[in-house]
Amino acid sequence: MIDTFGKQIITNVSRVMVGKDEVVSLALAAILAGGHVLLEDVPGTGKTMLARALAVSLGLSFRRAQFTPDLLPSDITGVSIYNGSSFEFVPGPIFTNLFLADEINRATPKTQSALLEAMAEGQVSADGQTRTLGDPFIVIATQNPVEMDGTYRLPEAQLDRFLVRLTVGYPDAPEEHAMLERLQSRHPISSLKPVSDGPNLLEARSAVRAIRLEPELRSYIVALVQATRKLPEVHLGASPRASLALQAVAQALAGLAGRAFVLPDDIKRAAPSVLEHRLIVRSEARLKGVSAASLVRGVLSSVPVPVEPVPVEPLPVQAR
Amino acid sequence: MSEVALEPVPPLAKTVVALPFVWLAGLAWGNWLAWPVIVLAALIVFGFRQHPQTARYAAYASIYAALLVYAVPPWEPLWFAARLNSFFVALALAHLLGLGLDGVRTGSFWAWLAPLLVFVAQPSATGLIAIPSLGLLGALEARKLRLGTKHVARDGLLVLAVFAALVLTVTLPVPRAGIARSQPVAPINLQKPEEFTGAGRPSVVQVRRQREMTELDVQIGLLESVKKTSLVVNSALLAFLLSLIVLSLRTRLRDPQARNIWADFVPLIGAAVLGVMIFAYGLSASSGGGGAGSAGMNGRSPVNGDATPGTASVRAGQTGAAENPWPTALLSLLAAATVAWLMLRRSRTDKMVDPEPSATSANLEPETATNRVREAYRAFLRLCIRAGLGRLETETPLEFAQRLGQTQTLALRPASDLTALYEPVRYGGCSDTAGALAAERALESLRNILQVDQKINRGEQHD
Repeated sequence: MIDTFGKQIITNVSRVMVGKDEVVSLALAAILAGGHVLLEDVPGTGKTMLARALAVSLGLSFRRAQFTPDLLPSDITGVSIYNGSSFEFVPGPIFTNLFLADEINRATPKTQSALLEAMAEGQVSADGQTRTLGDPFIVIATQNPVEMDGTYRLPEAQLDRFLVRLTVGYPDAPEEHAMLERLQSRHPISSLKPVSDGPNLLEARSAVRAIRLEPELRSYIVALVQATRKLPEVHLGASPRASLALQAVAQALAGLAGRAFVLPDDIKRAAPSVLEHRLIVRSEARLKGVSAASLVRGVLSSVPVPVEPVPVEPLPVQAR
Repeated sequence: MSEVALEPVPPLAKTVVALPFVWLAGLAWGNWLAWPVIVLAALIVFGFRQHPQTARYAAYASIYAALLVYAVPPWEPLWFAARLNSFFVALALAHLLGLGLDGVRTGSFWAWLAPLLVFVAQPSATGLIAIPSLGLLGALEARKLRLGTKHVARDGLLVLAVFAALVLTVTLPVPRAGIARSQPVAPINLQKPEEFTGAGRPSVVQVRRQREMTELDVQIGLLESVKKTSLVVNSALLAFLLSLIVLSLRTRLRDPQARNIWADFVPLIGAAVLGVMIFAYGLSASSGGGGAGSAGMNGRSPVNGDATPGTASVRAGQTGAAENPWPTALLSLLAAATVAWLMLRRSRTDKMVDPEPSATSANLEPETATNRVREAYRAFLRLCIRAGLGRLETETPLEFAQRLGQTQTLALRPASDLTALYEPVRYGGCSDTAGALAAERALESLRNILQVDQKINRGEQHD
């Protein structure tokens, strides 16, 4: 069921995004796991297009906010306006199923933080009143690398609330060629049709949670996350929320692969996108060229995978 | 020295294996030559994963260095003889520990025989550390690889506690009582003013007396070591039983389906005999004193080469009689009873989890199929280790199959097939008889491919 759902979405999105099936799969896995997605890359790599294509394909209500330095928190959450007799709350763009926060790191930290409550609890508090957001509620945010001009670094608390951080990356030459060909007349996003809807997504989400995860693989997840906390190059390791995220994304990836159980490969596949943005690398290590990606790779290549006991008996003599 | 692909040893295991070396380094403490030993011990701990072969040779080297530092300097003829003897004993010990390291890495029988022989050769602290260390290591390894890391710490502590109880029961009470009751030995003061010749140097008489006293005490020490021969035999039997229990426990942990007389009864018999032996040992020690216990406690018996003259420890062996043997005996029985209880409890738990063959065939069939698939995969791993293509501990089954396929193109397909059959069984709790048959067929293909390849490699080497 989940794999059919996933195939439909991925096929539909691939009409717009050429050669990015892995990124689409991971983004979809994060959505199936009930999380939010952060897309980070240089301008022009198709981050916004991916978010839009996913929103359309999932058949969810979709709102978008372009984050700028002068954006206020109330521009996102909504504002109360006096209508002559009383104050009336005008909901902001966040009151939707899929909210695209475009170039999120161009807004001030104060505005970025306005998303915290919405992302963690699915509700917004404004004017002393708490209002529940839609279900499902998904935030897909895009950001440019922090090294670029006019960007603010996302607060750690908010980074932790994104289930995964994905990098779209440049297409290779054949993919870029295919893209030019496909987009020659008009952009396919304008003709993209939904292939699913909200209830379908909620059903798939509950199916993902039922996917089997062996206790030993759970221990493997814990070992991976704990290993990030012991790295000397790291100022802040992955949080317990990261363990939950890794488990959920691994389950979703297993479901998308048509399996009712998680493999260690699912965990390894999910780990970079789940863990990298949660690690705060020490300045001195960063100056030496150490990146969060290399640290996660190191952790993956140092924590043993639970497989089988090391054999002890000699091989039985084969009958010739 | 060529490095080969080997199964890395878990970090805790490395630390535990390094303990005996650290102990040896401790013996050599105070001598500047001990520092290379410490450095080499550290090399063993940190270098085992990347360079297992190099680390193993470093282990040998560190022990040789420790023994050289420990054996040679005094250069008195009798001392030298005693220490030379010690040197050769411990040279064998180094080899045996090396074998133990190899055995732990490959999980072979030597991992268990080596500490036993170490204990026989050196019934003192080295053996006492080596046995529980390697026993604990094996239990941890088996438990971890079978059930993952969840229960490792708890079970490891349990095994360690049982061994510690046994070791302490054998070692502590006797020397404690012996030391407490031994008469204080008057120090030989060669600097008495009346024996001075006036020139501020010891006289010829003084030097002769010193030498006579030294040789006399060394002879006393050697005599003690002869007396302890029977205790060495006892210790060997004791060590054998300990190893037997660990081995049986490990066998049972590895394969809970094992339902043979060996797996079921030997641990219990072993525990019972062990209890009786320790009981008798406690009684004999209380009447005779000393023994392996005092050797272990002091760590400086004539057997291990330090025949320090006139020390309280040697005298303690002579006069070391426990006032009351019952605490020792009761502690021994308690330790043995704990082992027996653990065995019985585990046996009951296994029976609860795994139905006996008397269960319905419907219940039995998937269980058997599961075991067959997993056993086929284990056999595949063994085969790969033999072919020098062992799985890395950080590799998933799929990654391993792909890596194997890169070096052994013909093996890619059967390895992938076997992996695809294994994964649902191992991680999904699925099983079916057809899958078991297919897994065994894939294993057969792999066996043919990898063994042929091994033969070709051997042929090339001979050419």
